[in-house]
Amino acid sequence: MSGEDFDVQGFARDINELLILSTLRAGAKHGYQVALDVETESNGLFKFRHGTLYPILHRLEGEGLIEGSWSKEGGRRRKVYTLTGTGERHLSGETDRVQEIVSRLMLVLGRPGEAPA
Amino acid sequence: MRARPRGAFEHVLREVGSGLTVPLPVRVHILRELAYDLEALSDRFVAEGLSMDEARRRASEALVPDAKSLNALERLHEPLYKRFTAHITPDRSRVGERWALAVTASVLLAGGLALLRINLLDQPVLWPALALGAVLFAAVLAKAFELRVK
Repeated sequence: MSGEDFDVQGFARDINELLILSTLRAGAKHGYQVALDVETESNGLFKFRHGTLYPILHRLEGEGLIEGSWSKEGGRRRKVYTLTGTGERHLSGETDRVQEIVSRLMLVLGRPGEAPA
Repeated sequence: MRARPRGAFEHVLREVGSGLTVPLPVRVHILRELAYDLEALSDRFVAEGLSMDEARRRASEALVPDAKSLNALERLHEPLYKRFTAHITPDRSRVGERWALAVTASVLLAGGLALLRINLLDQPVLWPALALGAVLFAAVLAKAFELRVK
């Protein structure tokens, strides 16, 4: 990973995707549960507002990282998402990448004025 | 027992639906998913002690897509047809669609007549009925194309 490769906006988007994938690791959830769990687990640091959740869920579904299925409960149709095997592998790889980015950032923040090795 | 107000989010869903330019089946799925999530999330907030109004407000704030999210959903669910015709001007694409519709309707009609072994030259009395049927059939095809493909 070189400095030129790093895209800050893309990184923010990736974080949202990873948060969703990560919360689905615990089991199948509805969209609203995903949003609630991300907010709760991050102590309110990460929130999905104004329906930003749905484009991400649908994109992940289109990429095969999660799977959406419909069921019926009390006459109401509801959609449940589960993490796929591909999603799990993607999450694991991306978690390593984020860790590397954060540790590089901390290295820079911890030694102001010095270039990291 | 707490009565669930039926269609509490109806106006919100109608607004979202009218701002969403995607094929009908996709729109139905998006609205159905949103409807369930809105009701379930507001129920959850009520169970946590919020008033019904506040629960609905917070659920809407979290889940109802704003213009940016609607655009993102439209891009994600853009039908193949729109992608293929993106470089064609709307006028040209409309002319092409009309020709395709006319040809499809004619082929299906001719096929139907052939199957039924009807010789139109022998029965000119059928022409007006057939013309009316063809127009109705074309209108149905055009509407189905508009709703389900475009």
